[in-house]
Amino acid sequence: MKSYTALAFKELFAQKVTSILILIAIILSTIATTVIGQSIGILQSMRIDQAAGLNGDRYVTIYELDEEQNAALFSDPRLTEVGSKIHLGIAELENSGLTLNLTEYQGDTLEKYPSIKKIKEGRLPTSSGEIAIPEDFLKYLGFEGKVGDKITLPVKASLLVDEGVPYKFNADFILTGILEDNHIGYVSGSATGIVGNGTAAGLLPESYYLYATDFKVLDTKEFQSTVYDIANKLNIEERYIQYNWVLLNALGISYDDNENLGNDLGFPFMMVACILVGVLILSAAGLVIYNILKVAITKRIREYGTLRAIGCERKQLYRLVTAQLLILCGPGIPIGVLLGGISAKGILSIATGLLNPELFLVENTKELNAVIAENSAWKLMPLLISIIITLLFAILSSFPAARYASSVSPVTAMNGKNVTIKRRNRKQKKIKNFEAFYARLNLKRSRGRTAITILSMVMSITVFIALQSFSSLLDTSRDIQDMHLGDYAITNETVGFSRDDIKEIMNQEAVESLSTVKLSVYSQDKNGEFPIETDFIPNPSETLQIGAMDNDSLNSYVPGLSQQDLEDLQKGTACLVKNPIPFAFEGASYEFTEFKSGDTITVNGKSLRIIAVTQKAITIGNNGFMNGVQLIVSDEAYDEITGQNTYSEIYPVLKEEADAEAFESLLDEWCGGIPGSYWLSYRETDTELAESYEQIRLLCQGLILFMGLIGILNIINTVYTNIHTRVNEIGMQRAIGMSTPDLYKTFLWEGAYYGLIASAAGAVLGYVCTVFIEAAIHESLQLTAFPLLPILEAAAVSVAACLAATAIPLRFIAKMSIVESIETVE
Amino acid sequence: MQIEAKELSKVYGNGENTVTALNKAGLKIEAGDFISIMGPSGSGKSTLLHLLSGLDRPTSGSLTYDGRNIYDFNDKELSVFRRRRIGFIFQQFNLLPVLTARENIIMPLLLDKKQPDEAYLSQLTKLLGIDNRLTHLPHELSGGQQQRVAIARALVTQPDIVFADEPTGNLDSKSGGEVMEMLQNIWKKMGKTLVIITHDSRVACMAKRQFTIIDGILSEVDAS
Repeated sequence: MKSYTALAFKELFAQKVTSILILIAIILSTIATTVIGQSIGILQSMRIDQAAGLNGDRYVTIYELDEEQNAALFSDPRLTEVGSKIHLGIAELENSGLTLNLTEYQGDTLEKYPSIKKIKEGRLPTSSGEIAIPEDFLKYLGFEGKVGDKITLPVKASLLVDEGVPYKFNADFILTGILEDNHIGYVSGSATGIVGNGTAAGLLPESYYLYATDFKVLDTKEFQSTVYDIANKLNIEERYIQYNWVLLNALGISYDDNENLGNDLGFPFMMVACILVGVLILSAAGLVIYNILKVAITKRIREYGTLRAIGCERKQLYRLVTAQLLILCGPGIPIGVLLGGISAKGILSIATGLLNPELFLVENTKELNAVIAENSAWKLMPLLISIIITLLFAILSSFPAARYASSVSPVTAMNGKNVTIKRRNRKQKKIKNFEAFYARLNLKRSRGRTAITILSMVMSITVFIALQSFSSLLDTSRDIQDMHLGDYAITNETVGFSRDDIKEIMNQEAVESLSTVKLSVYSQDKNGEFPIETDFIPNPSETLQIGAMDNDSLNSYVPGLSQQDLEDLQKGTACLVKNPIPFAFEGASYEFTEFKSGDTITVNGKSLRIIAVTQKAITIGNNGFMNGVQLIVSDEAYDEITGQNTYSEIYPVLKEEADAEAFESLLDEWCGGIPGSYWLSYRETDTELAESYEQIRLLCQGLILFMGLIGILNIINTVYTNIHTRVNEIGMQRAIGMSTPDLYKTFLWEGAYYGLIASAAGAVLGYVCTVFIEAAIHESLQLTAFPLLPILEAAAVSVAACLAATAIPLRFIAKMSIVESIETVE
Repeated sequence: MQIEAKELSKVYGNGENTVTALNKAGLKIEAGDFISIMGPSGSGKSTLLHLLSGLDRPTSGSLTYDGRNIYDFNDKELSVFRRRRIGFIFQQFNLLPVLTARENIIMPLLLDKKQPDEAYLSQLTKLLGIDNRLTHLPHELSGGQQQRVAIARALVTQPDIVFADEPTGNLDSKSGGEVMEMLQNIWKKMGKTLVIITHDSRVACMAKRQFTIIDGILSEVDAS
């Protein structure tokens, strides 16, 4: 033994139960911080990748540079990844309000825009006069040719500040490739068409042949001053400088124009949620560590007194106590890190599954999971931060106990006079149940310890109740998801299905029932008018959609409508409305049309009362909602307004015993006979959804178990130490005639009181949390149904855990001889 | 080394609950003294010992070691003072249960970041008859052996003075006799100053100077 600190090791080995309890608390808290740290790391990594993909892997673009200014940027040693492009002009698409930005990317600049250059068919243009266009835009252009064909576009070139008339010309291109649709750009009503190198030089006059140059700054700390210096030296006005705020925010690079800081597509929400959960778990684990250490030190206070008497300084005692914790952190943290790291990816996949995948700029949960997997390598910095936070919390938890040990006077400690019972209420009342009465008095012996134990259990119960409520809300969501109209969707976006087609499907033996949907989408022409007459003027780029569904589906589409409203809806004098989605692009918010319930509108001469505004839109073929005003009416009203009677989508529901495979073969054949038709099975989707919700429920249950474990850890420690520090007293009680069952009852009452008090407090807090969770989901604060079942479950489990924790050590005490118990030095 | 206690008083509680444990006790201890302080239970013996050894602070009065009032020391100085210049022997032995006998003995040195002088340690443990028990844990030793380990711990730093609080109080008469014999040997052979608190008159009689304490009042018994 070389140093007095070796005593810390020996104390730990001597007190195995205490050490194991603390070790478990450390492992649990490390798992929590590692999962959170790694999840934040993965999210951050995803965020940077997505930001670079969305808006280009560039920090800044300076527009309208001449040859000399462009060259100056390329030769500036402070800059990196410099690339330039030339804006050829825009091609406006008739009858859609959409525009196609034609851009020539020079060198490998296009590599920085992965979301734009995804080729679906053919190849990217390489030479002058070649072009690649997104698939949807080709449709809007009415282009019916194929890759390799000529395409003529009316192009309009203008400058950012252009007082003259835009330069207009018709340009012929060879279509070398069809690009995948990039829906993100659609919100601003535009998409990018890529033209081959040299195209702009051949088509644009010198005054329009200007560079837009992208770059990154090497020294990100000097980012803003470097940009200002460049602007100053090259005489560039502020309005020509565009900051890629999505990427700058993701990377945490500070810049002056950072008003978009908070607009981060869901990532901060996840991070805040992660941190909140982490703080909760760390606090609970910290309480456990504090409680266990405090109790352990109280038990050994005479030893600490002796050490003080023989010359141990206060700070040496501090070191001894904290060393014990640090020694346990030695194995505890690596084990926690390993377990946490392994579970982080899975937990993040499940947690992000709660959110709309579009928040993460992917289209579905599968893609989201793929992105998570790509970014799931160990994140060193978050790992280090997780370890440091756990360590700090653990050390912080040990300080009160260490302080207590070091501040006790050696005389008091050696005399063993550390237990002072305060009892304010000393009125003589008839004691009806001595065991329960004595248990209540025992709870008051160490009020601090009792409070901490109860607090720790309250936290577990609160989390349990809140998450149970959350899970049941998920069930409701699943019910809504289950409301998709059939087992299959059969779609035809071009000619549609006739009434006879519907009858044919309905008459199939395998089909039990069938729902239908009709949808017509109208875009604005260049004057901002729709092909059908309306009494309202929508905002630019908004579409007008008329949708309809069969009466049964319509009745259940918006729950809670009055009988009168439903009748009006079916008569065709009322409608439901889905308003356009408000959006912002590159920091600018766009106005949108907004109808309210009670408004009256006229479409194609038909007056419709809006009876409800819905968030659900009718969409066809799993396509997203094309932004605009959607009016949902009855079948008959649809036919009257649109002048069409074809159905866009059919949703058959199969009989339970039906042969799905045979029906799908039939669908293949049937769709082949009607051009433009295809079908999709929701059966697999249902299974995936069920799995997804099951995973979420498992995550919730995991968290409940986690918090429950911490709470149980605390109750076991408290009860165990309560009993072990009262061996002498127990011996005396037995000596004066207390039977073993009576002794059991006293301690079981104590355990039951812990459970009951914690359940009552947890129930109240859990209910408050439930109210807030529901408020967050329904966006309004209101009292919700009291979660009686989760509360009863929590109370039962808590009381059972307390009783179990009490009964086990009691068996040991009951077996001790009365003489041994009395002679035990406490 | 000269120790001088002047008018040491210790009062517990206040108002009606005031208890005077020690009332203006005065005492001079010279190097090489062997002092016994005898008194019935609750007379203030242990309070006096705690005050003399710097374990506790008095309500009033002073205590000087070679002219320096130790109650002026801060906590750190007092801790260092205790571990270097004072040895303690307790009635309950107060050995650390997780440490072996040897580790218990050298603990005051380790607290001072020193390693033991093996020759001195060997001499000491042989003198106390525990040299073959050094790897044992306290619960593996008899009461007498435990107290001898505690004596070795008190002497390992070669202190100026050793305070013993009822060193035989927890031992049978044979072990108690052996322990007292050893303490006398230490006083004679090693020339240590020894202060023993006891309520056993046979133990008290072994001392060179004898004091009695009754109701907190200390008085020296005239040996002549």
